[in-house]
Amino acid sequence: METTAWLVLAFPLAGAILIGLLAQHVPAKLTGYLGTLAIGGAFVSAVLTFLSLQGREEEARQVVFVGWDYARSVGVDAQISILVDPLSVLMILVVSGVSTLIHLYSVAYMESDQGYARFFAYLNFFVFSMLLLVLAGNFMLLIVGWAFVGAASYLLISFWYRRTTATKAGIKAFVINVVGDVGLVLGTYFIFKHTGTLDFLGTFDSVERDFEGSTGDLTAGCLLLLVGAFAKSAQIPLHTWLPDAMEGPTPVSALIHAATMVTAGVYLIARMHPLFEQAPAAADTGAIIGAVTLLVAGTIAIVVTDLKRVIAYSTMSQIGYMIMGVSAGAYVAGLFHLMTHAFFKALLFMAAGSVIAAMGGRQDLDSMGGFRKAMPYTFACFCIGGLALAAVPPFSGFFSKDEILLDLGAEGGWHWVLYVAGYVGSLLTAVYTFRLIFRAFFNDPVPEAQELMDGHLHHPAEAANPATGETEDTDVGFPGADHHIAEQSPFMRVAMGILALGAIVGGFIQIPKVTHGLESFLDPTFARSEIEVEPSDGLIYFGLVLGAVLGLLGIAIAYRIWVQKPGTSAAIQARLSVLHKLFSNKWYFDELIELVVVRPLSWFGRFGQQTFERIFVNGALVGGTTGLVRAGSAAVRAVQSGYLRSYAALLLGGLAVVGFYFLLQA
Amino acid sequence: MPWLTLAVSVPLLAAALVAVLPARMTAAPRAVALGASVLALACMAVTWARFDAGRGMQLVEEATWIPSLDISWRLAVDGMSLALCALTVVLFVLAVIHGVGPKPMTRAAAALLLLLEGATLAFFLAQDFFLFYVAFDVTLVAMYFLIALWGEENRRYAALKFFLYTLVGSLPVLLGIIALFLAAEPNTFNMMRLAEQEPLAGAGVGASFVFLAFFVGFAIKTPVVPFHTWLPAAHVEAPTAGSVLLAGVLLKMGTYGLVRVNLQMLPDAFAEYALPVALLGVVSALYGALVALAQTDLKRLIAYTSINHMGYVIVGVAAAAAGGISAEARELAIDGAVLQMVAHGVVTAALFFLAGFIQTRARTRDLGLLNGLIRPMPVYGTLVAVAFFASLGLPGLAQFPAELQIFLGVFDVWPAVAAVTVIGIVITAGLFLLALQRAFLGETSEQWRGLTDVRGRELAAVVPLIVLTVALGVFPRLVLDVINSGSWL
Repeated sequence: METTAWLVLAFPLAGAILIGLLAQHVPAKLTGYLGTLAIGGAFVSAVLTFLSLQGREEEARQVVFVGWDYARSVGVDAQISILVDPLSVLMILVVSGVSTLIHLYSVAYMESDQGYARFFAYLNFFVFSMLLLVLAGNFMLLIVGWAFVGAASYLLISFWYRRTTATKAGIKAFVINVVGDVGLVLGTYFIFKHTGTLDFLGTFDSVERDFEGSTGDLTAGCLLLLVGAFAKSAQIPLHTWLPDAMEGPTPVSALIHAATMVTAGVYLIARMHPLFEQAPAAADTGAIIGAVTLLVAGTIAIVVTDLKRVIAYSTMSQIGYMIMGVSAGAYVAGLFHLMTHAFFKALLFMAAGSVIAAMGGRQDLDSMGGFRKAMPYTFACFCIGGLALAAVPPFSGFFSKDEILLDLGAEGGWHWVLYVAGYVGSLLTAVYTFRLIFRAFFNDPVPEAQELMDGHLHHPAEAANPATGETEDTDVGFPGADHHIAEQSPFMRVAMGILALGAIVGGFIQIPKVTHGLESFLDPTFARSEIEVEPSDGLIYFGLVLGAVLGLLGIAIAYRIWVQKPGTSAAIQARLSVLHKLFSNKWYFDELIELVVVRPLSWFGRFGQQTFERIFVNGALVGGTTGLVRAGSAAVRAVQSGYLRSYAALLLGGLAVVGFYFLLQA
Repeated sequence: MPWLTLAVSVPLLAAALVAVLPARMTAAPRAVALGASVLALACMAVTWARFDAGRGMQLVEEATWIPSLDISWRLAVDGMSLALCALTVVLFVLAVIHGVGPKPMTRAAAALLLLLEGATLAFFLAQDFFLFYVAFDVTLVAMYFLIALWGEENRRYAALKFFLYTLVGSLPVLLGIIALFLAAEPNTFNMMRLAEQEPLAGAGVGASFVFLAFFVGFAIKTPVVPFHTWLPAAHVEAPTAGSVLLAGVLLKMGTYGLVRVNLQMLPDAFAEYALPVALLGVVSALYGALVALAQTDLKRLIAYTSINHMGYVIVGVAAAAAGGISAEARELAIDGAVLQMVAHGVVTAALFFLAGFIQTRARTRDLGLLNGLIRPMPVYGTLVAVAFFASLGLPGLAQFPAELQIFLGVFDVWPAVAAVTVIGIVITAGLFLLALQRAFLGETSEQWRGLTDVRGRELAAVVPLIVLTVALGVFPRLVLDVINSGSWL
């Protein structure tokens, strides 16, 4: 098991390095296969690790393997060590599995891109980082993986580096992620200060003892860990980077900004559950933020008109469910939703990529419509993904979302508020999901759809940035000429097909009162948990029915507004213009952050540069006119006016000091 | 063999040799400089092999010099000295490879580089205060001429400013040395004995004055805000190799002195002033980062981030000096601070080399004028990106383990200080990525399309530093095991 676990990391790392080195010397096409093969190797290793873990005694299913000592151990056990247990194995299975499919999809999707090899090098590096994050056996390595994931995300968002919108989005994502890194690091310090160990299992074993009488520090530590979780998982107020991250190529959105990286926060809270259970204030904060995020993101998703951004906000919202769940103790349910979400959201993005390709790169919903007949395969996939997202039975999302809300309801107390918020969010989800489907696939075919039905792809006269309309060429640094393969490549169909299957059947692993596959698998990890809930049968059936009804109701509403009575949408907008303005401006979070953080900091930097630095520099170099400058320069002139004299004066001064000292001594 | 004495004297003798070479041997100065710096590197390699990390100060080489004042030629190494000497010899070899001034390298340039190397090594190895001070001032003179002779347009002003500031800084250091000499019983310049005796322990105000004298001197050298304004000016005007050595090695003299003298010889006084010193470090870290954010000149930007990174070192040393810190956290902080000196030396040296390469090609370093450089210069762009990411503290690269340890140590004493200081990391992340976006990404304007990528000698100078950056990031124990501050602090 030790070997296979390390191989999970070794394959993608080797892939990234090999592709980086070979890129100039082998045909580009080969790097795509190499990258896919490396990730496939990681997936196979993950499966083997899973099998050998299952072969062990239940109590022995948390194993730490040490690679080497990272830093010298003066009371700091900073090691390169990995922790293999059901939780990390679930994560590596999901991450490497979905990644393999997305690599496969990318082989076709990125085919004409001039940065093909670079893309796969970055993508392999990302997968390595993500696997490192979830396999890390101690806080230090977790921080490393955490930061690597942020860096990989930056590289991939800015992949089309000649697009200013893309490079700006990359910076935003990275900086907000660094805020999260800092939170994670500081949180680690708070915890390390009391436990004296960086090792996860060591920390969890002694957490109650170590923090006896200082729960304040534990709460502070957990809140800081939450900052890290929020930044990675795009939770309010650290979420603004995620919609912008859609500037990256669509496979990147599918892999990083839907299926894997953004779920890191969920993983973190689940991994740290022994700490959070001792710090209820922090856990409650996480649950509340998750609930707020799921509602706010849902309202934005209903009004945004950019196809990918709608899916991005829906990702934010779904992660809100997960964060809410794991913070409130519904660990298995949160991870269950993480898994099913990885399937159906990656699927939705792939299908969206297909639509965008058919639109010649444009992403605006307003100019889409009627693709149902033109792209039946994509339409089917989109519908499956959409039904899973909208939580319609028996699709996977139905069971996983139900499980989260069921646990919250069963816990009772004020968690009822979360329970209600979750169901309100359910309705929103169904509406915005099917708004997307109806607007893109129903009604009259737009010219691009018509063209496709006539047997060829739409090629715009001139390549352009869909966000700004600026014209572009198709050389390296911009999207390649043929991001127009729509659903015609077998690679893309296979990848989408497998994910669609997962989106349909993925929920069957854990059906209330029927199957408990995930719960019993994850049990060794959560054996320490003190939270036990036994939902009553009434609550179970009520939840199942309510979830199904809300999902179908949402679809019905969407159908009424966007298919049956076109124009309803405009009427509602006019009636609720204040709300519409708030939602379509994304609740003004960007503006708020700009005003409160970015402007003051850059103002201070400029102030320092233009005032403080200039006065000193000018004062010393050329003398100045203002009073301050004069004061500054006078001092320097005194020295310059023959520094021998000053030297003597200073020497005398110093001697006086020494003399003074001896006076004191005597 | 007296390897330490050899390491110091080979460059110095070579400097003398170069000076008397006949002018017509145009290739000779560079060859001699290269040979001597490689020999110095070899001497330090031997020392590294002979060094026993478990013991403190060792491999002492001693010869009486001025007996009446108990002044000796006394060299020795401990973990901190060795780590910094190793950094020094590596950077000088690379600086010679890169060259200074016109090509082929002139006798004056070669001689000054070698003089600077000998003096720098003497400073880090000296265990006699007289030698320590002489070496400190000789580096000043050598660097003054490097800037004044081969710098950019305003080199004279910048060189003079650098000289004045540092000279003003070296005077209080001299006074402090004299005070320590007089306070010791018997009077001595022997630094090992002074560290053992702590002659001013419990001396109250007197100790405070001496502490402040040393602190001001070293703070100017480091530099700590508000004594920093010489640094950007000097960097902007200095020739590339001058900037590399200034940022890579000479700045470390300040923090080295702070540990060697203030912390080891005046621990009581330092404990008293630990918090104010730490706060100055915090101000440096944040102010440096914020002002760097406002820069458009690549070299100035790097210079200000140096102030930021050296601020972390100051905070780490101050934490180690504070009372109430656990022994483990203290070691962590100092190990981290020394590792940060090395890591910053490696990374910033690479950054200044890289800034120099674009200066020679585009004749500008203005981030507002440069754009899209990664297309004509992909190798260059990649190297810059790695160096930028290292400088903003990305794990797996050199500065991460250092900063992690520093903050871990500081957190033990002043959690709030640590929390405020790490904000600097967020700002540096933003500023480096902004610089990357402005100069390297985006469209390439017509004038930069023909730029040639880095090659030959340039790669030879910078690639070893990038390799070291990765090596230190992945296996920091390579250096941490040597530093091992527990054995000498």
